[in-house]
Amino acid sequence: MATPSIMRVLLAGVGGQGTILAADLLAKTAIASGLEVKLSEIHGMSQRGGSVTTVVNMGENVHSMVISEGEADYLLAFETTEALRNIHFLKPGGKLYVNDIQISPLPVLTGKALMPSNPQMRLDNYGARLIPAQELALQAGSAKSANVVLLGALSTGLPFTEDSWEEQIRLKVPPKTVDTNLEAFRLGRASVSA
Amino acid sequence: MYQYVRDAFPDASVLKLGVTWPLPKNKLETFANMVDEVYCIDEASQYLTSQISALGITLSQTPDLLTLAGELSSRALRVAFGNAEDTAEPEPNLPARPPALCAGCPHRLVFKELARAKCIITGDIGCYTLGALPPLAAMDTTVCMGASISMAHGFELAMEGTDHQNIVAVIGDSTFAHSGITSLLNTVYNQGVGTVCILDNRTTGMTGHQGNPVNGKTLQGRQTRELNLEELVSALGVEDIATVNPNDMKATRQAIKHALETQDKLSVIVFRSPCVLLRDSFIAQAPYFVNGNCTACGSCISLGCPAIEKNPADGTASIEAIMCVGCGQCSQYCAFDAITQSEGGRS
Repeated sequence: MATPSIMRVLLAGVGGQGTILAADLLAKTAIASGLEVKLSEIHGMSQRGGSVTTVVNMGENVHSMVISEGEADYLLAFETTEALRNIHFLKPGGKLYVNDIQISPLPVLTGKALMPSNPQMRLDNYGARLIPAQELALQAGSAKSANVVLLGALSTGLPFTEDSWEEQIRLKVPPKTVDTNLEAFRLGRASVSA
Repeated sequence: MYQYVRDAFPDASVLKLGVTWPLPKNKLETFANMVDEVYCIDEASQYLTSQISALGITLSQTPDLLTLAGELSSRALRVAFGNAEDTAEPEPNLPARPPALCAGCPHRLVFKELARAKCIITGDIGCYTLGALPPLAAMDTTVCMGASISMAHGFELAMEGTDHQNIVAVIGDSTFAHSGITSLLNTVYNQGVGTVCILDNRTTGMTGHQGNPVNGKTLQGRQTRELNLEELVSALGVEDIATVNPNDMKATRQAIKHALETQDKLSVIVFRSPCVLLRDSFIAQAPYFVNGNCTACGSCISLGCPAIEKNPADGTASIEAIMCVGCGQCSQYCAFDAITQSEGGRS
């Protein structure tokens, strides 16, 4: 059996959405909170619009740096199709936070494939919390901060203090964008707590 | 594998072997005597299981066999030991999300034109390997760095005297510097013929825009002597050398046509234009848009630009202004003047 003291988070998105930065912030917050962390990225195609996944395993004694099917305690998806694509990695009863947007991949743009119908309904079956991350990011001041909005949503399910998250955001993001990212984080957090 | 075992069975005693031949007989026997049961975890083989059994150590069988194909994982171990939980089934019928050449990528038209000329295309390793994917689907082989040129030479030799399609090698600037130069020298030295396209996008695109000998920057980003591709290729003994802007459809088509018409000679075309992700040298222009002239012919869609979308209802095209970098490649393929540039530069 898996040791319950390990928290496994899978982040899934589309290249260019900032999944890797979000995973980095999560890992640094966990380390600052005294946990051991292993992180692995599939990022070879990250700037070319392909699927991107990152795993962050945290706990007192972390062994594996990847996850198998049914092992993720949390799935943070940056797009609805990528949420569905990775759904079988979520542990039964695991928490699912999903950015409520659809991004068409090239086979759909060129008319060779179709987007999944009713993704939100399908995700509801898994108890998804849908986050209007794009809207909230714009409200915070930049569409690019949607990744931090999603991190804010995820943070409500994790045992780290709000201060420790915000400290890592201040340390990591470019100085000019600190305020926007802090606001994005708070809006994401509030969207789930509400 | 050790980490997966620790992950799946955190309370089990584990003997991790650093060296598997010769096997540490005494250590194995001591370990076996300390524990109730010994299971051997082999990845994709029975090697350790059979060798340790041959030492006279009794191994217990997992309820299910470990997989002999693919990779082990914590879950695969739990499945073998019969204590894995059920998981959700993967969701069916999702569209694939392969990576794509960027909007405005200078490699795009080279592949479009080579496919149009129905060539056999031997490829190489870099961003341009994405030219193998639909809708461009313009690469027939990818093996290892430098193989594009060697394989084109091999194809020419193997198919000599037959009525065959033209053979063209495609290789990027940094891959050429890495291990294409010796291949080209070998082709020249052995009096090989055919066409080699060097796609010089002024950087090492796929792996994160590192410096390389062709772009004149060191790995640390310092200025250094820049390799002159045309002079190098000339020094190797190639006589037919052209330098072309690959964003110019007519020039690209003409250069390929010329090289293919002289298949009894070795031609090198250097396609030179900066990668769109290079902030210093690529300057985005005002985006293009599709006007009312669109006849849904699908010509621009066939370029596989991620900024161009086919309307599923009527087949007409539209351009996502935020993604479009204003390269104008698509407008050169529109026979109906349906793709025009926005006024007033980039917002």
